[in-house]
Amino acid sequence: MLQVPLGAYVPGDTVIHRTRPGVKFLVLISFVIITAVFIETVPWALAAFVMPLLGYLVARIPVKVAWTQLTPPFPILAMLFAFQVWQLGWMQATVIIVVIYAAIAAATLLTLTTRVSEMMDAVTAGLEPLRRFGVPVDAIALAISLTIRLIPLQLATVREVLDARKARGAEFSVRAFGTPVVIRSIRRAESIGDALIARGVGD
Amino acid sequence: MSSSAIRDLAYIAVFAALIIVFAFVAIPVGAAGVPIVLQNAIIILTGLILGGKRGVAAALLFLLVGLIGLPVMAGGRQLLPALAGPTVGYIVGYVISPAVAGFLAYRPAASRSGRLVNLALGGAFGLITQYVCGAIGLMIVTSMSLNAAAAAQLPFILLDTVKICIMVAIASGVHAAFPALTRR
Repeated sequence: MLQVPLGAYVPGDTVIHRTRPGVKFLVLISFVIITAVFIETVPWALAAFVMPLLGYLVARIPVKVAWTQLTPPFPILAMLFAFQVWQLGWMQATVIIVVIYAAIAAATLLTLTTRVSEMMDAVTAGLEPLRRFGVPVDAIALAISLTIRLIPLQLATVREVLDARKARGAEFSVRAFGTPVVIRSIRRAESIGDALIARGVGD
Repeated sequence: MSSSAIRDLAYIAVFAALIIVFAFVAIPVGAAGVPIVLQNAIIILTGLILGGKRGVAAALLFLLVGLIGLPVMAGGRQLLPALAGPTVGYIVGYVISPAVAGFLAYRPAASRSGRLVNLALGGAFGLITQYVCGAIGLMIVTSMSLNAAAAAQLPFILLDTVKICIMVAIASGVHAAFPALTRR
């Protein structure tokens, strides 16, 4: 059973680490859109791929970490590549897959160089302008914190139910696993709701 | 905030956390213990249990937590690379499918079998929604044709159908245990 890894941040003090998350996010979106819309030849696609790679060098991401984070997309991209070679030819297939992979690499770099706490601040700051349109920003921030805190609790619930199912010899039944997990989740939600109300949240 | 809104917030957070947990947990099934990834089915289950509005809120919350940097995608992957990759359509489907499933599941039913039919329809159309969004995403990101994108969904249909049947059975049991859920 896996432990829940809370984020993939690589500590560092490079210029990329120090850039504000909102800025990095805008750069990422611009990069993805520009490369998707304008790149149509292999040399430009390779140039697009080199840019995030340079970012990894500047941010001093260890090779092992970069490898671990960048290899999961290979299988699906390989399948897509084979299919697109058949449909569109080598050149166009190469351009499409390299551009997609450059976008994935850039997005991964953002995740590796930004702390969860910084990203949380950036997201809530980003939601602030929506407050005037009636979006309940405080409730969203509370919900995010609640969810993060609840992840290990829910994981423990899942583990307990799996162990109980094994102890009863009910190995073949997903339902014997799913129903108690959901019922426990609902009871937990009811308890949390009552506790929040009793503590005066929202008053 | 009103009391019912706070209770809804608790439901939404608990189910968002449950969706995230199923990014890491693959349930061993059968004597061989073949692990089955359940995250997409759990998202539809969330819609069946919480209804359309709260289901969508749970899905959005789970994506918001992923945006912050926690690895919430199946297999412990990050959200941002997935949004930049070829599976972005499915992620959009993760938000729309609980709305579809919840809307159908919460329709008034005169009998137990009527409620079961509603849940089954909700599960089926929720799954179809995910496939449609996934196919559209493939077409946009990888320049696939409509036929090719539709064909790419075929390998997943059988296993996903089994998952959805199980989710409908679970949701049916849960609604029997907590009738008040649909009245909020």
